[in-house]
Amino acid sequence: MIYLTSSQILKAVKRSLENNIVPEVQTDYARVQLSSAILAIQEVISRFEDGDPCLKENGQIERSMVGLAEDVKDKFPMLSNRLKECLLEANSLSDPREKNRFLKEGLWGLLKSANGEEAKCILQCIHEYMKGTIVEEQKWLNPEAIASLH
Amino acid sequence: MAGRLGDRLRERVPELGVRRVISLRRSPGGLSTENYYVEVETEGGISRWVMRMEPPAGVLEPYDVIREYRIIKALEGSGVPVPKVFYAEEDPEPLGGRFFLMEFVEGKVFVHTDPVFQQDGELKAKVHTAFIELLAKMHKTPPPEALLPPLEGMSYGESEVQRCKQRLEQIELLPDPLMRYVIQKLEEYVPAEGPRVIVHGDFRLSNMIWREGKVVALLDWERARLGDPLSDVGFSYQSFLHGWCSVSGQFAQLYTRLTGFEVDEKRLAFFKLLEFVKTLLVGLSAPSALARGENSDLRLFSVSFAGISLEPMALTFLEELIEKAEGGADR
Repeated sequence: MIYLTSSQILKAVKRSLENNIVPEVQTDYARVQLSSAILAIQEVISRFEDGDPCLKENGQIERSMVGLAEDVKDKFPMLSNRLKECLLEANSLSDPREKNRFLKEGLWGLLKSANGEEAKCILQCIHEYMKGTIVEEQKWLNPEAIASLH
Repeated sequence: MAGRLGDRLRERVPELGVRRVISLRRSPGGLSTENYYVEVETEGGISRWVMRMEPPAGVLEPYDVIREYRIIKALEGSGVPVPKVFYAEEDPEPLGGRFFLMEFVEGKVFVHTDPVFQQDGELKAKVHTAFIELLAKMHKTPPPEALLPPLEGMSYGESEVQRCKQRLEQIELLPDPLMRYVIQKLEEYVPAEGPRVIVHGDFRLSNMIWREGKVVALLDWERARLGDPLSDVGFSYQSFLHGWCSVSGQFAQLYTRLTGFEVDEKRLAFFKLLEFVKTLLVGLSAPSALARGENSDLRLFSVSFAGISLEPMALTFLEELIEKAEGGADR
């Protein structure tokens, strides 16, 4: 099947599940598993077409850290410098998850020993990138799955 | 699986009089321990039971359905309404996980979002009052020995924070600086030890079965432990799980009247955050359970999103904790 791209294959599988299998499924539990599987297939298609979402989060973390380094350069110059060093070092990492790990460990390293306003600034930076992550992760929300948990 | 269950029950508990297991159907409800509806033909006729089985991995590890069985068994006749349990299987071999069997309790299950509560204020007040009365009753019931105790040499608060810390270490696929920070702060603000009671750990409307205006069964004891009553009180402040049905205002006063336990604002702030962190850890465990390839419940994708989306709310609970702890009288 060299004629089809990976995402075309997955789209065909997804269509088949939606059109041929969903209407036949009898139990609520199987139905919610199936709808969640279709959601997962859609996500893999998106990754083939738009790339790894980890790259997006890394970009958000970097932007938040750059913003924080700038904001605190006068008040907390040491923190500002350490943020810049962390960003610089992270640039040498090509694997998106390795880089993600490095940046978050870097933020944790700064946060765990920070106090008062300095800690608040770092928390704000974390909160900032998390907002983007939450928007990105929203695609995983299957209302049918959540409703079944009660 | 139905055939294997029937064989096992005939071999191990002949007194149940099982002729055959007619059907075994996975319930869509619940998240962690797997629930199955069991229809059996016994010498006395057709019966409906519920089987609770341990998954190989999941969001509430470590699992111990046998402990849950023992807790429920010990509570029979205590005044805390529990389903009748019949049999616990300690060998995971026959069905692929340890399990226990209990009666299927007929009745109504409410959730705080039921539209009926918007239309019927009287029912809402009645349900809320019964919720508090049951919580009080449970907290005043002598704790069964089977309850999970705090870690050796630690207060309940210290022990729970330690468990959260260990759990986060187990499940982090990528670092989570916010959760690490919140747990670090919880360690700093552990309150003085309080009374030790039965903590249900998941005390909410959707775990209660109602019939003729009263709760006839309190379910899901998998998170139960021996601990501070404010744990369950703090848990009730998670608005997305409880809405209006919390132990606050006049209902907190009622709780105190019934139990003699003060709902101290300072100590409560710690337990609100602790319970919120425990709930978050459930959601944040989902990717790790899937990554290890030991859980096949794809609803975990959605559970993971729920955890991530709620995480920033921990900062609000943390602010409250720090504000209330100022002065440090209880530290």
